[in-house]
Amino acid sequence: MEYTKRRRLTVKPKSNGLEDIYQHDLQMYDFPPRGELLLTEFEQLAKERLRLLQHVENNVVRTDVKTLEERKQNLSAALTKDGLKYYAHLLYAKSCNSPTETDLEYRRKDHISHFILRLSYCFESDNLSWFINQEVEFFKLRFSSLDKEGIEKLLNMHKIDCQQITPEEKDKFREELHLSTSSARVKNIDVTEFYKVPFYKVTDLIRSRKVYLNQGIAFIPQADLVSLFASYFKKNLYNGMPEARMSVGRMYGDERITSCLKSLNNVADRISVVWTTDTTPVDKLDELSKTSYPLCMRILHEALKTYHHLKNSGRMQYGLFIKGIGVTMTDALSFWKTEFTKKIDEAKFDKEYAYSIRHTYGKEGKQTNYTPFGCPKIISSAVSAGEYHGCAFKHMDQNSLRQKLFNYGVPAATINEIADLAKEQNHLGACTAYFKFIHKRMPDKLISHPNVYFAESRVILANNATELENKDRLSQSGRFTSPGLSQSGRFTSPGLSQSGRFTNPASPSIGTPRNTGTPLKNTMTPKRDSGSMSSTKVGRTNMTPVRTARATPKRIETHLNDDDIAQLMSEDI
Amino acid sequence: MDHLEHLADLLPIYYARLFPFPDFYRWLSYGNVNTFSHREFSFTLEDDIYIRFQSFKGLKELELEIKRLLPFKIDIGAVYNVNPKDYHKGVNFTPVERELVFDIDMTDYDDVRTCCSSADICSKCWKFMTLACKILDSALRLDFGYKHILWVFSGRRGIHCWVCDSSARTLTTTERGAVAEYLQIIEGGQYMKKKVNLPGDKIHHSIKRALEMIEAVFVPFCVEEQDILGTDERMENFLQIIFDDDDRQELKVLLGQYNSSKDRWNIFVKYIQNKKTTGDKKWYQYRHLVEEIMLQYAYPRLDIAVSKGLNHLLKSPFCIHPKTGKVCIPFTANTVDKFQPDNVPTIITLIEEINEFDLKDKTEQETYDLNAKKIKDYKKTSINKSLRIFQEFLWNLSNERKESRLKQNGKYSFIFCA
Repeated sequence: MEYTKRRRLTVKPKSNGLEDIYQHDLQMYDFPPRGELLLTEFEQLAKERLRLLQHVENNVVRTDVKTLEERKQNLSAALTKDGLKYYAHLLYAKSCNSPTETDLEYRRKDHISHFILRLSYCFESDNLSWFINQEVEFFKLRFSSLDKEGIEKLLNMHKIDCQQITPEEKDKFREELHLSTSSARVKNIDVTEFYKVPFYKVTDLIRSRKVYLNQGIAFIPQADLVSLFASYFKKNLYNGMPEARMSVGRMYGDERITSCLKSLNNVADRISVVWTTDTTPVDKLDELSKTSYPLCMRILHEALKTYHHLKNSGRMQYGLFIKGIGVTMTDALSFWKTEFTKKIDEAKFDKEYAYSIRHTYGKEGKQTNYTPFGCPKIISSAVSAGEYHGCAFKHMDQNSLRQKLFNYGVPAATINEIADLAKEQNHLGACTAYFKFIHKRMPDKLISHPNVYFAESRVILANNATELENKDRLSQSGRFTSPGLSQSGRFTSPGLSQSGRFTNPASPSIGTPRNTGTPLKNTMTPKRDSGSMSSTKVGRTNMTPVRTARATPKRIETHLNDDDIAQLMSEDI
Repeated sequence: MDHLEHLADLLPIYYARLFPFPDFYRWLSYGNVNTFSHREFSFTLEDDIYIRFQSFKGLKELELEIKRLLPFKIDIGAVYNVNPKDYHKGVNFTPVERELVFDIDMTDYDDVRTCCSSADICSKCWKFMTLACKILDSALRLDFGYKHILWVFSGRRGIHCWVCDSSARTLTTTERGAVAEYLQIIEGGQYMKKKVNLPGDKIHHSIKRALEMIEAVFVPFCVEEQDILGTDERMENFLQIIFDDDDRQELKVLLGQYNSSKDRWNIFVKYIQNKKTTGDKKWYQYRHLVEEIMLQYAYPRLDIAVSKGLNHLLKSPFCIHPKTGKVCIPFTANTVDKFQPDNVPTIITLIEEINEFDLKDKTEQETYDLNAKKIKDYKKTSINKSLRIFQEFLWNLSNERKESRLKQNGKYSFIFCA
């Protein structure tokens, strides 16, 4: 890759040359850009690309947008509004064969900006997977705009191994194709063109059994070609990363470039884990599970208390959650041990389970400091017979969910509301409705992580307690009077830069008039300040090791492959 | 621990005289020394001492080390980019190759089997394993085109499947995940009573094939022998699969009028079919219900975490199960119907067989004084048959290697000619 940057020299791109380089609206980014570029343009392109990917991400998480077309319109609108018209244009580009000068200029911007971000995102695996996920998503949306000619051109340009089946083959496999091709995409076999590809190139179609598979060859309908291209695209990106890393190495020393690249790297800021900074004693978990746990964790806690056992995935989900709410490793070990040894002997516990608990705290094996699972990870987890983990609103059937809520004292009307939301697959909505019932008010922040739920709950309950205190200072019968809990209204995120992102205590979230003058708030203020500074070693001395280990938490939930988890599981024998 | 008594005394004889080291090496080297020397082995020694990341330069070293350590259990891991023993702490230590494996354990069937629970098995519930083996084997061969599939009894209550085609060994984690999920249709935990949901109007050909195998045995095996509707409790359990409250109540009364599991099943099937033919409002949610229930009760239940990870460890064939003393012997899907865990030789029976044979041999030799021809020890025992299965599997593998080498040579000579 050659990135030569000059401050003043501009090379006016000749459209003739560009036409050869950029033959297609949709690029695989399989060669790096060459030429010279103004530093200002370098920075601008990079920042715009980053904004694009953020829009793409925001668009994905929206549950209200259902169809592909709506999704595209939505994104297009957001891009246009943000002054990224050329991306909005590319989103709908058909591959047009006779590109105008504007088209070519857009393609060039697309190309260069992608490669700049690569440089910034190629190092850290969390960043990398975030970057690739968004790029793939954008690619898929763009692919859907291509016309037939555009698809064929792309196939030829990249020599993607994919053969159209012959009429004879179609006759031979007619019945199987009819049975096994997802009817959501293909209504009539006879008017659909099919392609043969090795199954490992369309893993998403195989995984969900959407296509006919024979002797390792998947027969994919034209409508599903996007899968093939997306996986080719993804692989390409992955393969290009080592070279990107080398390019950055070569630029080492050019402060202008490195500082620009650094400034682009903001993924760490968006991590939505909320670490509770206070130590939570394990003897409070029973109580907390009823007042401040999201339903998924309440159920796990209950299952553990009832059956004195949880299977591996359940231990992971719940174990990391309690780590996140401030249970120290020592406490966690004794907590699991107390429950498990009601069924098995201590030696067996020490041999088979203690290791994996230490592992989740980063004290064993690869010493990865694992982060609590977020909702997307939990919702997409596989749950088998005898297991209790996963998302209550996704992995419980209606009857079980209703029964469980009934047992927890939820009134019928609320049960209906929650169960209906769950039925519509609005898992987060259902979770929020549960929150609302428990706390008698809405959370201030979007619930997208069990630990966010917990943090929100603690803030509200602490405030309630303060209000109570204000009303009747002499009475000690407030909801939470335990000293360990009463301060839990304050939460900071792991990194310095993140402190403002989710729970910036300095600016309490809107809509909830909070009693800033209450004694509790006042006592909290100095501690809050110290908490948001990394230099407060003194303030931390009585903290648990958990805290210090938090500097660079790994996000497991967004990893593209589950290698780490597999590793964790394999070591937990 | 509740280990087999005297296992530590028997293992030296087993490893010295019976464990098939040369074949074992032939298998795991796949015609390439490095494939073997970069392979991770891990051993569980007496008193649960567990050592990971062992690797060996070749057959000799492996054999010597196993005979020295006398592991109670041998696990096979992945092939790494460098040899695991010396380099597993390095930064770039990554798994590069591994058989595609499946692990099926009887305990995962606890909510559908009625004869035994947890670690126990009997000839009745073993049929779940038989069915699982047949269904998986045909899907792997027909859908994915794999040829070199080794089935191994896990020693107590389950079976392992090793897919050894070179294209399978080099699959990535994502690709393995896709294969595993393709073959996994039972999903849902304790709070998901209906665990199979077939989307759309049609049934995928792979599931259709599985259904044909299940349908052939479902009534005698699940309905009658496992007696899935035989008691009130089981019926209650079964009916929880029905989502609709009114229909569930109606069915409860209806099924209660019959006594046997079979009659109840038949009336249930009739009730559902009736829903379909009479155009009941709810017919759409019942369109695959009978099939879904059969799948829930009899389709293979995989531990897919094992299949997904490249670096997952799996117990080696020809290990001795430390609790049952049974040998983890290979078998084939074609003959799985005849496979009975009770008939699997144990380390004790094998050693007795050798002794008996030698004794007889000795007397014969004394009588006839013929040229004493050395007979391989395993041939004197009931493990012989399993070894033959293993050797045939190896033979097929090496044949394919030869063929592909010939093909490549052919290509070159063609180029030379031209």
